[in-house]
Amino acid sequence: MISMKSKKLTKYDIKNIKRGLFFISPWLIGFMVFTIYPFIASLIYSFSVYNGVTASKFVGLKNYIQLFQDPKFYTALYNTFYYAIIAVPLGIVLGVLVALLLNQPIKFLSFFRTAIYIPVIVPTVAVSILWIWLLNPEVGLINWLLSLFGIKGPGWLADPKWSKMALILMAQWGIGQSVLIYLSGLKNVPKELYESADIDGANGFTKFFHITLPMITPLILYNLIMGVIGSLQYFTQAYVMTNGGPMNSTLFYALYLFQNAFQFLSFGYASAMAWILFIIIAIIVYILLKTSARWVFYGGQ
Amino acid sequence: MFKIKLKFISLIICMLIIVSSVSACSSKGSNNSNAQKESKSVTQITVWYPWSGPDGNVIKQWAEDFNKTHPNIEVNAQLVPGSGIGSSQGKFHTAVAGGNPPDAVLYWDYSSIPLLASQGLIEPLDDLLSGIKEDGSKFTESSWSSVKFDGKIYGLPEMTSVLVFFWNKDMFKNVGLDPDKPPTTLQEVDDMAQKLTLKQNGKYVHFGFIPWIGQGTPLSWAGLFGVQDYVVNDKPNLENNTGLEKILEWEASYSKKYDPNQINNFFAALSQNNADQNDPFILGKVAMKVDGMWEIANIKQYAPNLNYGVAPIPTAPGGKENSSVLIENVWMIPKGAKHASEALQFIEWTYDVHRQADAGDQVFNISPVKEAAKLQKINNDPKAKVCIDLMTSGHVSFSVQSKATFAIKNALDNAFQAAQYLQKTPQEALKQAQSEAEQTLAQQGQ
Repeated sequence: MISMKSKKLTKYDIKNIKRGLFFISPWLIGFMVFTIYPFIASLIYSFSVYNGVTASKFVGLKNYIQLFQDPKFYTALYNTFYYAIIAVPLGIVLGVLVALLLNQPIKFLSFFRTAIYIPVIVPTVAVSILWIWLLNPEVGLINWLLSLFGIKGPGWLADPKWSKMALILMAQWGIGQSVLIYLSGLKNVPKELYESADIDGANGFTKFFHITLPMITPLILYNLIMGVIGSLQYFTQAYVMTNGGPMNSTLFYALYLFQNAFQFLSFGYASAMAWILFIIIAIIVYILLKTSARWVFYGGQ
Repeated sequence: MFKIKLKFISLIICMLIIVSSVSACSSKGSNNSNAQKESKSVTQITVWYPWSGPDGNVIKQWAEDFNKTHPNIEVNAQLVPGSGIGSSQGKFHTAVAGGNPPDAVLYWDYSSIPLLASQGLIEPLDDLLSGIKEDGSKFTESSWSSVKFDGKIYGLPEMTSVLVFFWNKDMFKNVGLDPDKPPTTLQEVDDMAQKLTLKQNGKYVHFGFIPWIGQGTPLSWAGLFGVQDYVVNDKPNLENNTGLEKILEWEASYSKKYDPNQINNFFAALSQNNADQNDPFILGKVAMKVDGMWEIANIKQYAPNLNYGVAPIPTAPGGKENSSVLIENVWMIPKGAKHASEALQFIEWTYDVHRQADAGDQVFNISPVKEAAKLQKINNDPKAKVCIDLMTSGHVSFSVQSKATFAIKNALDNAFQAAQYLQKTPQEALKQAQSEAEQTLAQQGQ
């Protein structure tokens, strides 16, 4: 509504801007208080020693230097990247496959679609407690299922070598969220493309790799970025199920951050961890977006 | 006209939103409104306790009884798992930092006092206690000395107990061991454990003994082995600590004999360090264990026909005979508690001798009040008597009260796990524990 006639702001324009700010002031205040202020405060705390109760003490870069000398920091990074690198691509592949399956005209289709989505709405803590029992090496259902095929299941959460795998497995239970998105994407692929492919004598595989997949690449990019951001901040399940154990094999970055803040009462140290994670995620997302142009196909082009 | 009206209405809406969002923030406000109520009638105080079950019921009952006889004070006893301290430290810490703490908090581990005190989360009680003439003389010496730190008093005892040795008499009989002769040294435990472990078709049916289940925590064993030098001058002394190495080698010997993965998978389905019906000893899955005397109440409830015995913990190499470990629940007053004196009034009221004796009997603990302990009916229970004798005339060890103890405890938990999984030798595990503990202390600015 700003007048396009001249670059100078008229009195009317200023009044308009003021009115606009006034209307969004509740959100603006909330944003300042709950997002900007903690953002800046945590940056300041990352340069201090602070236990949340007594006054903070400025120590410069000491927290960061200590972090880089902390073996648990590297363990946490390793665990988190291990999880992200396996769980995210696995989730995408499974999500697309399941979406393809649910796109077929089969009996009881709506039942299957609902069944796939229900795990998403179950609260995370409830899911975690359920899966503690599913994954139990002696009496859990997972190992029982494996035993039907003659496979002796591993210790899952009790075994340091398998604990992260257990959590990755559990995460796949919640792919309903991404399946829903892929389903809508699949439905939006124009039928004419498939028809012309059929005319040219294409088989199922060719149709998938040359039509379906390129058409849903924007959705894959979306899920990839959301998946990366989410998995690098993985916390709740590890906190409820294993609290970092056994032997720090499930000590994820966000969990270690939480322990530093609330168990060891080092808010400054935890803030430094938070800022490092922020920078890591920002860099990764930037790289993903920059390279996405090579493989993402936006329909209008 | 319309513009003015619109502006007026939107102004009101904005103010409403701002006011409601600000009042939703941490409420010093709500306490003020309580204050206005109080000056007319009743002072409301909040008290946190960490567990349910018989222990928690005692606290609830105390609060109810106190409220009936004290019209001016209303105690609101809230169950907060773990009291928000320890690995659930978030809640307590947040409450104190937000200026909204409970007026008193009960916690099951007196060894958390040094960390909480040195970080300023709990208040020293010396002035308040001298005001009400509490000098600790009614308490047993061990319970009173464990609430002191750095020359000040930071808590009040609630209940005390000791760790003892449990053995399953039927399982002893089955393998030809005399059911009335428990082992008296750890070496005997190791030998008997071998006879009592049963493996069928490559799977373990039951174990004889595993050092780290029940209450076999690193610091408990340190006390039993007579190792008290894990902290020196508030600094961790874990690397090359021969005492700790000995304990780790002993625990690792079990892993070597029985395979750590099999052990851990076996116990994964059973409850770990919790007093409930899934306890491996109650289920007959392990023949011997070191656990708290409160397990006697647990076994009465869940396995009343279990044929078992209670004895002093077998002597460890380097340890003394009739050794035990002190377990103590403590009351603490958080920093910023608004009704500390009323909270103390409530706590002091619970020290009535008969009240303490009843409560102690209910939870199978020993009252820290000397006169009450003498009145307790569990004195007549032969199993409980063993525990009481240990407390009064045995050699009871405490964890060293230092502000470094918490960091050391965490580091040792990891180190012990590494040794139990045979992932590290005891020397390597302790070396890592040393740097981990130092790291944690550095983070805390100490």
